[in-house]
Amino acid sequence: MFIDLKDVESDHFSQKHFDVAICGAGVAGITLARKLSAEFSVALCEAGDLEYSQESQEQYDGEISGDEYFPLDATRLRFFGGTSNHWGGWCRPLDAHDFEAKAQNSNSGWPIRKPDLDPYAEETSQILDLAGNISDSCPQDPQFSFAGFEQIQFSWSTPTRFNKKYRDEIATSANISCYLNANVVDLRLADDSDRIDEMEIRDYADRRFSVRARVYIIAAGGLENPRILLNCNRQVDTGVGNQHDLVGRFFSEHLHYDIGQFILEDGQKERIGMPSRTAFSCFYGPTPDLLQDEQILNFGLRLQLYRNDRDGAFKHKVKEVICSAEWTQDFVNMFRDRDMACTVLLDGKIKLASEQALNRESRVMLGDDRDRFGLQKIDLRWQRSPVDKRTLLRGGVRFAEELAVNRVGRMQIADWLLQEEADYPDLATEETGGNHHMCTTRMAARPQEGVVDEDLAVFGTQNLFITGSSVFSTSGHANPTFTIVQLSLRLAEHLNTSI
Amino acid sequence: MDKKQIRNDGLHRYRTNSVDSLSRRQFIGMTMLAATPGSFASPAVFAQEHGLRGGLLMIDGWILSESDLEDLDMDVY
Repeated sequence: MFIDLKDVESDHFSQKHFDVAICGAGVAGITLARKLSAEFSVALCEAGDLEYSQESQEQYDGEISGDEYFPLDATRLRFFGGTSNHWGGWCRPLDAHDFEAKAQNSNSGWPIRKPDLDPYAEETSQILDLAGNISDSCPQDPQFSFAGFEQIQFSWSTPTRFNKKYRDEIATSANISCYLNANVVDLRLADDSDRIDEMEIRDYADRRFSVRARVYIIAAGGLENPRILLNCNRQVDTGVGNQHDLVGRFFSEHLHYDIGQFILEDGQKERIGMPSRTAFSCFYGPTPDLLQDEQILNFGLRLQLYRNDRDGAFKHKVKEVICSAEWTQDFVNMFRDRDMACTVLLDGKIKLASEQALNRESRVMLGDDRDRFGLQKIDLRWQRSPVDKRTLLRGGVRFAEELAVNRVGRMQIADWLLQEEADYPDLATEETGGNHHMCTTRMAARPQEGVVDEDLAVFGTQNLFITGSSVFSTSGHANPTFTIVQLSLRLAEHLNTSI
Repeated sequence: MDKKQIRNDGLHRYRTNSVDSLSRRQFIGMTMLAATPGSFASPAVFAQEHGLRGGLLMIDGWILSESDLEDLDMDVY
């Protein structure tokens, strides 16, 4: 059932003791609540309402003091269904080698392996409304023989909006109490204990309530999960779960850049696996051997045509007409008051999405400003590493070599990649990242290396768990939503047998 | 003349060619733009710097096969 916190009496929670209290009703929180509600009573606390509101969303505001990044109140959504409400629908599980430690990525390696998540792939596909079961690989083109590359598959969700898909189910659930406008502001430890005793929530009128449960789960997203832990500093100065100063560190994004342009040889257009927005699309990914040889990180690469013979061709023809002479270009540029890129003789551009190297100094910190509840806002210090740019360059060069050697086409590597000292293109001209916030409460085998263990329990506490992309040990290159659901299903199974 | 001007000038010239194959036409245009004397470093130097496989070279960021530079005598003006 849904319960608006502004409508409850002040003693609403005094006689309640839930089995599980979850902070955040996004992809991870809703998935967990549904799975746990068969056996347990669940308090699902959503900071926003059923629909978008500026009052809630602006609590996501924060400071960017590292590399240029998206505004923090635009890169995620704060209402029921969370960021699934503007998600693009790209789905792919992590590769098996993503879980392994790599010399070129210090601190890498997961305490679990791909077979630990595979059993949840089928149910994840159903939750995300994928057509059929997800697969790592594409139907192989028998002629495809790019050394160091394989064809990889991305599946498309419709995309599933958790708000729409699960609203009725939550509304009629007897075991899920979904509290709306319930902002988690503190986790209180029992005296002299490592057990969470209660979760403090507030409504927008600043009324305070205490939610008590046997188990507490933070599922508020890769930026908010560390922020909540760091703000829980009344009993522990450094924040809950932060005994080794790891909460918020290793913030990772997927780097999304156009790394070059290409032309195709005659008759090759049908061979290159253009994105088709049907059930799945085939792109290109490196083999583990290529990553080892080049000492770079994982990535996915796709060719995007400038010209589509079916849709939008007319506009491209108009552009070709304008670009056919210098004086026509000048005239149109003057008319539009900005320059036009006349690249219409080329076939398309190469888009690459890559894993980011783990970097201790790339981190979510608490800034000086506070939100309306008195919590310190985020100061995001995103920091990329030399291997990140090298991955884009060497991944592009190796792919360009294969295009030429296999007589498929030719590729031009972008100038800013070839110039070692050149900066990344800015947000105004490039996609830059995927709005994927990862690795800020990493899963690890030991508390000296991460914030949660392989069961997603926070090191140093007895009954506190975290799920979502913040627990990724490394980012891989695949979009995170599929893995978030897999991890949440796995956590639900663990709790179903251990509570 | 900067790189953009060279490209634009080239586009003007290459639009009027009569070669049937679009890809071939594109390629010739691209190669001529890239190979404009004095504008870019030597292809061999780029190839060496970026460790390209044998038989490949780089001109203005384009990774080409050496054989691409053969048979470019068709009329593109």
